[in-house]
Amino acid sequence: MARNRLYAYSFISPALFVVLAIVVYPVFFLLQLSVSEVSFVQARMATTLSGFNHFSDLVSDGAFLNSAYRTGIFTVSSVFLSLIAGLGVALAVNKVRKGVTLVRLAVLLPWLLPPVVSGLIWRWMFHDQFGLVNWILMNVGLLQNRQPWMADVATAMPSVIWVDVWIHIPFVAIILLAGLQTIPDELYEAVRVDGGSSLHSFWHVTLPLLRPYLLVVLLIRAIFALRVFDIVVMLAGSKFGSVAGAPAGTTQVFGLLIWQRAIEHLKFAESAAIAVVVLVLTFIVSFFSIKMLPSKT
Amino acid sequence: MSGRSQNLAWRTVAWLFLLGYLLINLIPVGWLIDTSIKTDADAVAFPPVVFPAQMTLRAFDLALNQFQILANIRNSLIITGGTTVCCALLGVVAAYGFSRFAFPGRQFLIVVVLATRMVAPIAMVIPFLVVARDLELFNSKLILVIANTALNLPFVIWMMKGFFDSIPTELDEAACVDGCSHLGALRRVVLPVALPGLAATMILVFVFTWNEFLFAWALTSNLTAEPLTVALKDFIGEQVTSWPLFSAAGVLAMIPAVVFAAIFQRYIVAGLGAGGVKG
Repeated sequence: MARNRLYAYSFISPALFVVLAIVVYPVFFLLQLSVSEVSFVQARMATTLSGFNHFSDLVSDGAFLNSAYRTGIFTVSSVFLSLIAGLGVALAVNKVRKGVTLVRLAVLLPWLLPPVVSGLIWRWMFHDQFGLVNWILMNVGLLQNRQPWMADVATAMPSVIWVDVWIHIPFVAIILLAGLQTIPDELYEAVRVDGGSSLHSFWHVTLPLLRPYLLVVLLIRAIFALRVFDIVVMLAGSKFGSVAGAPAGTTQVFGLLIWQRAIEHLKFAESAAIAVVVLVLTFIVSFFSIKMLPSKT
Repeated sequence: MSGRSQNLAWRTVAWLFLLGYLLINLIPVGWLIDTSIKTDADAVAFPPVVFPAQMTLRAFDLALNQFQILANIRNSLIITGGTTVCCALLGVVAAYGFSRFAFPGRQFLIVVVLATRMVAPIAMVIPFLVVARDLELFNSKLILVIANTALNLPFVIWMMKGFFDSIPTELDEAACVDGCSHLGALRRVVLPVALPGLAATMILVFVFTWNEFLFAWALTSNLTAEPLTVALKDFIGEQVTSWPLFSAAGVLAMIPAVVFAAIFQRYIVAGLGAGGVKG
């Protein structure tokens, strides 16, 4: 038994060392930065503890409050829209059950593309002068004039949300499809024998049995939406790669603000405080989702 | 009878919905490919030209040679390859340890590994940047291999532990009766059985690393280490945007994803089947 224990530790310790050294240590370093003052002497960084002033400053920080609002809108919209659309796709694929290989490949595609490429694709699709989106919408009569999607404060954030939903529908659909396939056909049969409609069986069989899967997807989607970065840079980035969240900061989510403060303004401590806020939000989301999950899963 | 016709109606609705969805997936990607083989003039025509009279690979030539995308592709391949190998070696051994041995602190360590998966990369960028500078690893491919390994290792451990758990321990014991070590049992007996799972996991690690952008942008400054994703972002900063050029670089960046999706396909069906059995 003691021999087994020795084996066990020798198996897991290399990976554990890596995880501790390059994930856990940076997190502690981040926490330390967020309560410090940072100064640069000949490009070397020095830190002195200063307390929680960076956190209390955030309360009256307009840019932070703006990005909290934008991130909130983005996360809630993107998560719910992708969940609803992904459920639709999963139900449809489950119903069709044919031509599966090619269909699954096309369904998966947006999720496997580099987000940078998806951002590029939609930057081009949304182009005000030459974009395909304007052309299609004008042809079917939904639009009178060319819409500058990413330059208009009213449509910039909805456009970013659309791209994020487009990317993540495949992920939602794959997980929910796995969930749908665990539901035995006999249950649907039973509803039909009792004279229940399809809608009835969806509401009373599909949704309740899919609940744990929906919760898992909700959790993962929310965590990943909070950290959105790549696609906003590609869609809203102006020349010279600025991450101000054009137009007028309407797309400046947390990720962009953290980057701007740290990399462009070299305000490492102030930026670290916002990063800590994101971490705390992530853990709150995970905590509540895990509590809502049945203990079996 | 009415049940059957109702079923047919739903099936038709499902087909139409799926067809519409696939168009929304495929048209933008197809449009990028289409743009990449156009001349600059055709690319900015309005109404758009779907079938250009003059097809050209000039944009690819420009991207690969003048904009040195080839060097970025090389960097991407080295970083992605290195990360995949590191994750496979460390992750498989650790997952086997978690799956096969009972030891004090096991549950706690599993939670720690999972929790690290929740840490937002954007929060790790600042510490990484500082440490990379201190260790003089800034703008190196090595620091990106390290960063990506850290990002993906928890995922690999979790996935492989799941696959190993589904393989009966009698298999290892049978192998060890003949006097082989635990490592031998893993290598000769367990791993071959778990190979489809390992392949699926590693393909995902490859795709995630190939697609990674945040650390790549933060930790590199020039062609020495800059991968393809950062090169794509740099096109936004160009004074004059050539959409065929931009698109050609985008097409080059998505090739691995598309190729691997085609391979991955077979495994994801198998994985879903296994999930269904376990469910």
